[in-house]
Amino acid sequence: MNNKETNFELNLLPVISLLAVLISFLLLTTVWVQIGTLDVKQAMGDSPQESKEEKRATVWINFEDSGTITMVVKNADSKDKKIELKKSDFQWQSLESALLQAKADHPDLAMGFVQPSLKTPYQNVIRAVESLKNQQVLDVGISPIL
Amino acid sequence: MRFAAIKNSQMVSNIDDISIIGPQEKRSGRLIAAGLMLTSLVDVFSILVIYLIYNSGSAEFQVNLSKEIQLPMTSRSSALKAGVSVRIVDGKYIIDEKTFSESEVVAELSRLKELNDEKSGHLIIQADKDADFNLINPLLVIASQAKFESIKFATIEGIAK
Repeated sequence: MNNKETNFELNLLPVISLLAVLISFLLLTTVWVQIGTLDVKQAMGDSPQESKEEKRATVWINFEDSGTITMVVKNADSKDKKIELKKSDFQWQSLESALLQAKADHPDLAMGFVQPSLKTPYQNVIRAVESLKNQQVLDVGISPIL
Repeated sequence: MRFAAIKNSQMVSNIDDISIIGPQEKRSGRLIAAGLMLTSLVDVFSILVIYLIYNSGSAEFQVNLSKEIQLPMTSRSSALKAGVSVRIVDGKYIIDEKTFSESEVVAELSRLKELNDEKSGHLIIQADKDADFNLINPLLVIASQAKFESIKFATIEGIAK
């Protein structure tokens, strides 16, 4: 067999066309916005573990209509600790540092509740839940207004 | 026999043929054709295709987003899983593209909970980040009454300002 007959160049144009069509299709159909979920645990009626849970420290973040945020650490063994963050000089970092201090004081702190007011923006509620989870307070609930 | 479609097409240039300034149709001598580096182009395209295919099939469960809703951002979100999705738009509750009022949504959520399929245990709430909590509050009350095991707030991965 002649060596020249086996030496040929592959026609890459159809391959490139196919890839171009594929890229266009994928660019149009790919979901670019990554949607996730922030999970909360809601209490459902009486729980048999309620008495045991009561002894553990819990943290409450209360949003007031005035915009003030109050953080309360409730503990059965000691007096409740209350920190008030006024709307005028409120920053999320100050809430996170207060939570960090609460976690240092109560290492068993694993349960938190967010109590918004009816006028609280949804983003702030999510941010409060996020702040709690950032401090390893993983059992977070949102207290509904009845 | 050598076969090179690209090289052949490059030897004859239509643009040069019709050029007014310097038509090269009757140019004599040897034409030197510079070959395009198509192999690298194919490599780049292939990498792009693999990246896009990998990204397009990552979501386990997808929800329909509304133009009116801008979801809140959080850095602590987890992967979206199957659940009953409720969208809050202009004070109305939308489930499976059907609109319900506050009084009607109770019955609908209770009905969906009783179906006992893989979606029935979880409630996914989609609401605008600037919405007041009074729009979300009824859903939390209803979810507790209907005994949904977990409530998930749909969010976008990112850092809130």
